[in-house]
Amino acid sequence: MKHATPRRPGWLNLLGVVAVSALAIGAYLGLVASPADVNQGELIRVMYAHVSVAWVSFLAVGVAAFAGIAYLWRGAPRFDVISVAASEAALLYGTLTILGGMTYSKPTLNTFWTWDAKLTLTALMVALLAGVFIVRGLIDEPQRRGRVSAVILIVVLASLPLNYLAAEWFRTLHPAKSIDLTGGGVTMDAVMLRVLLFNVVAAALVFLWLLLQRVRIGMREAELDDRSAARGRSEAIHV
Amino acid sequence: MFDAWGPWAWVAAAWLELVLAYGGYLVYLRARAARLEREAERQPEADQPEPEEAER
Repeated sequence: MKHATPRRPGWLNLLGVVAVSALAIGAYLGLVASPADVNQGELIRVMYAHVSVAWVSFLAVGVAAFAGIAYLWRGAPRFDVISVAASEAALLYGTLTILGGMTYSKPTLNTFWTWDAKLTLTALMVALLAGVFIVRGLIDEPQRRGRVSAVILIVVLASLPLNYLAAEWFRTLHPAKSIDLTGGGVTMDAVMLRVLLFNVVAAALVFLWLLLQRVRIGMREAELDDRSAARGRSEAIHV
Repeated sequence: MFDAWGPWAWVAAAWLELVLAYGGYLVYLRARAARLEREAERQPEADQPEPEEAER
């Protein structure tokens, strides 16, 4: 018997249109509408791409870790599916953060990379996220696989406050924050701030769209695995 | 090599990274979904009785 191929729901396609449109508008604002910076000139336009994905990488780690915590607590496989999907997106956004940072750093600070605290912590975050998938590939038993990857994600989540504050605590290569959520206020031009926040929202919408597509695939894989396991049990009974 | 790059080359590179990463990940998701559906079509329904079993 053939399975009907599940069509992507209309609301997911609509979310895709909204997310891609927001990304296009964000690119227009960052590349055309934003003024050049007094010190960095046109290079400020790299910041909109870099900082937006950096913030969304934190969001993706948060979703992955909290879904992992929910899996440890409740044991429902859907939480593991969400956790893996968000980990994959976090790895994508984390890698983009590093690449974007290198692209920003070379022309402004004359180096692609240095082992300063914030860069090292970001590299560690990406390495641990890659580790989630390496470890999952090594463990066959689904419950144990889910538990181990959830623990790694909790460690990554715990490193985020340190990563956020590292630019203030260790004043080396990475510039200090222009938007200080710990009470330091905003030291950024109002127009640039609005363009940045719009790009953060656009990157978050793209993240949500990619995440939901990946969750659907994960759910479908789990469904087929269950069906395959049920068939195996049924064949064993008949033998 | 990179010393010759002007500011707009760096700006273009940064935004191109985003487009390539998003595009690449979407292609990966589509390929994975398509492979999954090919597997599903090959897999018989577990809850459906086999033809011989149904006849009995």
